[in-house]
Amino acid sequence: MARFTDLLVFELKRRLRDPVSLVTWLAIPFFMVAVMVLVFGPGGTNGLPQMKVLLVDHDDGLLSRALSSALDSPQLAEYFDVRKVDEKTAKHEMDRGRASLLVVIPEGFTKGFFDNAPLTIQVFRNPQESILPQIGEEVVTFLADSGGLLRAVLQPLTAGVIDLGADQRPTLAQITDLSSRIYKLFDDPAARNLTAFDHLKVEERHPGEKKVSRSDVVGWFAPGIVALALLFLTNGQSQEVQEDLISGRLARAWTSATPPAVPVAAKYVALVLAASVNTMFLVAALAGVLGWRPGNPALVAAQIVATAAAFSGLALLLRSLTRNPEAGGAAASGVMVGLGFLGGCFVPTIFLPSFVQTAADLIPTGWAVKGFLILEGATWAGAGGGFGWRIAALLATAVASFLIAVRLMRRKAVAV
Amino acid sequence: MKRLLEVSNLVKTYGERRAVDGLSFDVGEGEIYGLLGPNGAGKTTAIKVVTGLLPPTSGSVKVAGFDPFAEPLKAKAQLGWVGQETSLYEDLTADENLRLACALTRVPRSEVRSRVAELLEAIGLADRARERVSSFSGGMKRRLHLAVALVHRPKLLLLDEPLVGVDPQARAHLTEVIERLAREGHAVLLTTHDMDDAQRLCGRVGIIDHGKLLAEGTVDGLQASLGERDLLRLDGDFDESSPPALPPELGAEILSAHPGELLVSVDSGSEALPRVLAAAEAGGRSVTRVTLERPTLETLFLKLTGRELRD
Repeated sequence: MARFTDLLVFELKRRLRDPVSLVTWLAIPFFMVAVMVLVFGPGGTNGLPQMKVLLVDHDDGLLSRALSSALDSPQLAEYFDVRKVDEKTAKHEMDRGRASLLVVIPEGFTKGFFDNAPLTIQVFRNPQESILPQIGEEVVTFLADSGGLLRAVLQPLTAGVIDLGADQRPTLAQITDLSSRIYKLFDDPAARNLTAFDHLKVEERHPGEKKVSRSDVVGWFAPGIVALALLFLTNGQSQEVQEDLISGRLARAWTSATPPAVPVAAKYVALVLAASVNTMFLVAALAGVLGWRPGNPALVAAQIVATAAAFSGLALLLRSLTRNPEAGGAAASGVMVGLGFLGGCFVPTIFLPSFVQTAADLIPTGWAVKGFLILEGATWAGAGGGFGWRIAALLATAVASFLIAVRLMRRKAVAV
Repeated sequence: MKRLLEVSNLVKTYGERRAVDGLSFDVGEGEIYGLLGPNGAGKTTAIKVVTGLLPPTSGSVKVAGFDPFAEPLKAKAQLGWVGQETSLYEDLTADENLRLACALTRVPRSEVRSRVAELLEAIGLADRARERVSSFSGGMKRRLHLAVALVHRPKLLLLDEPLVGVDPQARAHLTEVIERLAREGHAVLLTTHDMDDAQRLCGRVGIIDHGKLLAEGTVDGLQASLGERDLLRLDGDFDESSPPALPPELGAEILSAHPGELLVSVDSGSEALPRVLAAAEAGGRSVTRVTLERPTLETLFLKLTGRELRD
């Protein structure tokens, strides 16, 4: 073990001697963050996944049912999965982060609406999610504002300005007056503001400690970016190991009285450590600069190391299969893009066809991205379970690919 | 003399091709043994089997009594290998390269500092110890490469073409180091296709081609086997298919006939030369230059294989 640590120190020293390449590798994912924020930032809501909305209807009147029906309408059903529940269930579900939004309609809502009484609809957002609750809140606000406008229009009718008795027709002057009011409502901002429904109360209800994402986009794309950064870092730095193989440095190590796996293991661990530390800086930057909340720091660190271990193993495997660093780099790029896309590094798999989502559950990049999503608490990423087996799968990939890579490298060394 | 390397009937095949074909030799303590042969003769393959990098198809290898495949760590602890290409870490310093080699070869920590200093002094790089290898000349790298193989004081040193591409100064330095190692009791196996290197350094030589050992012995003994004959090298319009017919009473032997060159072995060059020239002229060949040479190991190789070492 003592010799292994000596070798590891030398490998780390070699990497520290070349900080420029480390910084370069680190800059690539940052660049990608910037590009993705630009591309998917404002207006990037096409193809949103269905949002889970809980509705507590204390009123159960005409208007509360109308609001519920509006959210459940064929036009909105594609985006909203509305479930009517009692208040206790609603709180229980929200406390566990199982819904994006909770809408509470108070008792007497319909009557109060027609009586022109002040009304309050409560909306609770899940702060662990960023985009979906925001969109849900906007939709509910829109519906409430529409209701406010409707009430303003209907007010003259309900207040007896126009008496719609069975045998009485409105006069031309009354119809003109009504048309004029409607015109003003839709055309005059001042008039609209006066009549808008302004009693929508938005609150937050969240599981455990209060967390608020500062950036909508980062929460969606950060897991993929982090996994992609690890792909870049491990593949890029694995080139040094291939150069050690081709130059005969590894062959020389294998003629010494040290078990053959030990020198490669030292290089491998150095690779994992360098990639992990780089990525932790990236995570810190995403959290500090862009407001990403990746979750429990210890678990995030474990996820990073497990991912780095798996990706480093795969990178070594690719290097051991190819003839020279150029061929290794080309193969790595192809595999990296393919695995990255299928695993959701570039675009979250939820936006992709179902077969891609299935594939993501079978490949290391998918395990990595999903693991980070689970840690950040994204409800659309699936249930919280599954983090453990994904870590185990990543570590198994690491061990298997490392052992195969060592075997292939030893074969290749004799040809050098 | 204790035998530190024993190679017995070694065979290594790649598919149908026999890279090493029944090779047997041994190297004793304090001896420098040269495997002499052209590129592709099987020298490097044989060395890789000895190092344990390449498993043999059949035959056996013993390094200081240990089989490199049955007891790899024990066998490898006894050998130091210097490959054809310098395999140093260019981003580390000379000192760090040696320390790294110490870690790989399990040199006790308490001895690392003294051994590194001693080796740097021996190869004349003590004043450059803290400089990165990337700034070194080719000769300096070769010297450091040799030192790296010596950190654990191996009994057997395997040098694969150690003097190729080295400038005269570095060559002299390396030659001196190798000779000193032999004097200190190391067994040295070196491969070369340079006859001069073999003659200068090796006590015994094995001539190898197509994986087979064609001749073996001391340099003097092998040269003596050629007799005291002279060599006539004739430049002119010769070709392989129709060498000139030489008078049988000359006792001349045509060793090789290549386009533009004829090599003839004769008892006395000065006496045979006029008649050889006359025979060439009679055969319609014009001669532009004649060189009289003494026989060397290269001559022996030529006689054994029909081709030159650098072919």
